[in-house]
Amino acid sequence: MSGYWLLIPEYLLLAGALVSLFGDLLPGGERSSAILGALAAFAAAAFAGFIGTAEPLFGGMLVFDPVSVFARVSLAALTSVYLLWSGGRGTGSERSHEATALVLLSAVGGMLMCGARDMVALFIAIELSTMPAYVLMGYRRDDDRGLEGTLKYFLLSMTTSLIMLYGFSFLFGITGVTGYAEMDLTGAGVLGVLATVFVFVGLLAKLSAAPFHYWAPDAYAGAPTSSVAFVSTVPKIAGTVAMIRLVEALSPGATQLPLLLSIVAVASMVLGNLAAYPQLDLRRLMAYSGIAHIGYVILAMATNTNTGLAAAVFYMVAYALPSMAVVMIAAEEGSAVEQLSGLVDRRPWTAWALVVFLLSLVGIPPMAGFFGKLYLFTAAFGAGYRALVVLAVLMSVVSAGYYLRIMREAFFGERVSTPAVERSIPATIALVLLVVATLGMGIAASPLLGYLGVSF
Amino acid sequence: MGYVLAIPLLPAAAFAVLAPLSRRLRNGAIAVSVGAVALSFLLSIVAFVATLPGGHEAEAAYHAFVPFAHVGDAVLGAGLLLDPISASMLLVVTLVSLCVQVYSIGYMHRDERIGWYYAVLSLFTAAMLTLVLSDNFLQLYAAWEVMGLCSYLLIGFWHEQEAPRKASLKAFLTTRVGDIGFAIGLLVMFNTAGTFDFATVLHGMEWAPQTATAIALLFLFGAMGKSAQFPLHVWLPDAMAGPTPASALIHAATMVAAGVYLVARALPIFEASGVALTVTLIVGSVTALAAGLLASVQHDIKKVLAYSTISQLGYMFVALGAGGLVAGMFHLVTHAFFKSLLFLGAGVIIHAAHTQDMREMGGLGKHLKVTTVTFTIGSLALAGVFPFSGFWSKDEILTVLLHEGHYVALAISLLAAFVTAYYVARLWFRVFIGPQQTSDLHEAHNEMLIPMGVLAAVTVVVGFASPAFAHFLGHEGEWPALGMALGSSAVAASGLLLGWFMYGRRTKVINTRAIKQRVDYVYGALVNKLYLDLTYEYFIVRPYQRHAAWLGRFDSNVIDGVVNGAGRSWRALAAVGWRFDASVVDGAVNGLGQLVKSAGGRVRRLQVGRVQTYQGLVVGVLVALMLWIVVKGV
Repeated sequence: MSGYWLLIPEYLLLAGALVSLFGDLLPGGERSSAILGALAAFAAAAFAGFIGTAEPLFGGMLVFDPVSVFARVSLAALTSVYLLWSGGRGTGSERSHEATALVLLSAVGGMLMCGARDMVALFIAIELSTMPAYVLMGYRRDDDRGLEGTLKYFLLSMTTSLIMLYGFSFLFGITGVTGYAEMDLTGAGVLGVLATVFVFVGLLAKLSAAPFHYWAPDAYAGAPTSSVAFVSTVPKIAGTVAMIRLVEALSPGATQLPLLLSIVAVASMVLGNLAAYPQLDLRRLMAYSGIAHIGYVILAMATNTNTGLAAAVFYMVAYALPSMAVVMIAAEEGSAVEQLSGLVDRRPWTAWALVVFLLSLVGIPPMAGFFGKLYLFTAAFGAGYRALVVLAVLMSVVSAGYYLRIMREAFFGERVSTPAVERSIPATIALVLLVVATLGMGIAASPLLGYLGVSF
Repeated sequence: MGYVLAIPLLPAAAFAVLAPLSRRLRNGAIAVSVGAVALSFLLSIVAFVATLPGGHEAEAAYHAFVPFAHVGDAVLGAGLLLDPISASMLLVVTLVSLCVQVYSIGYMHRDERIGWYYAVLSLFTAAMLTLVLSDNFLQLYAAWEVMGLCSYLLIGFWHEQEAPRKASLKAFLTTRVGDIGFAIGLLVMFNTAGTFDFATVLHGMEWAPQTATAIALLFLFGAMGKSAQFPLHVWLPDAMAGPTPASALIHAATMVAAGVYLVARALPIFEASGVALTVTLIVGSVTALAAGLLASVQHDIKKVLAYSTISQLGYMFVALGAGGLVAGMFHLVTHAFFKSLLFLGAGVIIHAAHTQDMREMGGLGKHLKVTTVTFTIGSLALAGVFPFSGFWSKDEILTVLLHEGHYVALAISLLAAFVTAYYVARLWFRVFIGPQQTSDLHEAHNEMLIPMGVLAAVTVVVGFASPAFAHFLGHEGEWPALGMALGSSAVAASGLLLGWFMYGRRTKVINTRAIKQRVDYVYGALVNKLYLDLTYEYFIVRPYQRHAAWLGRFDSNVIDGVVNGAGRSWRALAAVGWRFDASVVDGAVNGLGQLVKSAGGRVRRLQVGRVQTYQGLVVGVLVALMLWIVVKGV
């Protein structure tokens, strides 16, 4: 096998994880381990981009097609930005070098998920990417609420993992193969559809799509905000890629899949957007808004067209960028919405950056979110999901309400004096990078989608 | 005839309703469960009438099939097959289940978890009905495993105590040993025949003798586990730790008979093999006699009945081993009624006497009038006394053995019949006659007595259906020959007389200790259950534990040693070794402890149902989706 060099990005992340485990021995301590991790992740992103598309590895278990490359680069780059930010912050609890290692390990799992076109490889990658996430979510071990949320996350995640694995076993039983390429469900009858449902229930729960979303609000609200910034965004990119591959592979045999996905999409869009309204805690609010955004993505998947699936991956990245940034700002300023009050006076630049992020989440041009939504809705509309697209547009108008509430608090809220946050250069760079990416991805949307193999 | 589907579906629906609500419902649970099984019973009567006048099993009265999946050329699916065998099993299962569930209203009314109890009984009934209605071996196997689960749940129903917990595990694992055989047999069958359908594998193809032998012996192994045949019988006596009505239903009448049913269904394969029939005959006769002897030395009333069940199941295997399908099935039917009757009676006796030890009972006959009458009917049927049902079915078995020329098996069976009559008399005289040892004896309530009355009435009359039953199954039926009837009656009478001589005389009580000392070895072997439990303990359980412990030591000494050694050298090398120790090792240990501690503190909050609610919601949505897809079709 001569393709191992294709996995250099993963090796880099792994090496970063191992080195940062002993971060307190490095000069500079905890901070330098995060910065080191950020560099490793950046190198991984660069290599993943440099390697580009290639022949499949391990007999088709891992593929390196444009979708995989795009997702891998985005995932590693976002990980890098996240670590840069957390390293610069330097306010993490003790042992934050372990958090760095966990983030990198989770990213390795995510990278492998992006390429997996085989049930076994996918399952192992999913577990590799979620296991560190449990620890990250329960990182403050003296915080009962956090542990409770983590336990819920863990239990529900395990249940749905098992459901998914059960589905895999059926798929293997029916088709006799684990790779998607030879997987042919046509003629498998009801059993094939049931197995597909099992698999998708597992994946939908990981992506916190309604009605399998129960863990997300509780887990996010209990977890350290800095962990939420990572867990709520980066693994979802990998999850989306894993899911579109399964949609492609299983659609021929499971004719009811589009209907199932559109039900989930409607449930997620409606529930997520409406439930986000009354939330006072930013983490909870972002959890529900995440559910809503996953709803849009699943709507695009339901089309099962090339354009729809590419738009889904693009939108997921376009969502992850600003969403991560908003949670980062929440981690710096405090997680209650009212704690953002008077942000514009304390940190005007941050406040304006927040505007960019929130407008992108609402879907205002020229931010990435607008183009993401545009392509996504166009694809769904073209595939005949007209009523659902109308509903989705309505729902994104609704979502403007709660995003603008955050903005109003930041700009016009009563001035509450919160202790000034320590400014750090790396954290500022991270936010700047995210602003640039949020704007730049919008401008470069057309070539990026062209790379993914579709044009509008 | 679509109503046949409703027969297993009604109890299944009762389970689906009761399982989530089991903590809240008490009277509601009883109403739902009993109502469902009563309706099933009525439908079973309708189905039974529809199959009249019966005929050969290959001609089904009703057959429906829903394909689920295609594997290669084979089609897997679920089917319903109503033929004379399954119709008669339907009647037996629903009637006994109905009686037991009504009886449980009185027996379990003080128990807090009565809702859960009824939920499991419903699930069990549904599984057993699915099993007898299966049209293929795969579905039969699925229902078979669900029954095993129910048995496990009911044996361990009082899981606060240690004995039921251990017994449930023992039952589960022992039957699982047999199930492995069954499962491998299924694989061999699928590999050769390419299908599990009864129609094809039983009547539609010629089996090569070697293949048939392999499949039949593997099936027999599974049946031996389920039907508690020697040497896999060890779980059934311990299973008596569960609630008595559950024992009556599961461990006397129905589930343990599933092994017999399996062999009866697969009899064409056994016949194609020939060798397998002989093995069945040997297993059955050894079990019939050995378990009968073991029943003769037990003091616990439920254990006597448990060994008696094993012995009677052995009889059924003997009948099938001799090729006597009708005789085996008929004994299954009569035994289901009279043995569940005996168990229900034992439940009343245990409630009244507050003990299960027969040495502490006596003189109950004066106070428990109804129970005494019904229990006596059951005892006489078990002993094989004319005109009770056991007489007829036992005689049919003996007749088959005589006709087929299995004289050794015939002799063993007659000996076992003698032993049976002896332990029946021993039990009866010890419990109902003799000095009263317990004060304050009360007869049970009507809801417990009426089911016993029903079963007793059936036990009295069902024997006379002997030739009709044979016709119903499509065979020649005739009344037992007078000579055989007289012979077996003489054997039964002498067994009863010996029991009376030892335990029944008012004037003189035989001191059994002298006899016991004289046949020290035999008695010791019997009391120690033929040393089988000890054998398993020494040769399977202990070596297993020893190896596990050895592996554990290996793990802690060698592997941990390596890890620790690496840790130590790391500490020596690194100048800041103490920090490693403090932050990584201690951190991990403290963190774990802290996590467990606070998770424990959280348990109360989690227990009020939040995570469970979430999980329930996820699974509920999943189930709703599955139902929707199944109903809608692809």
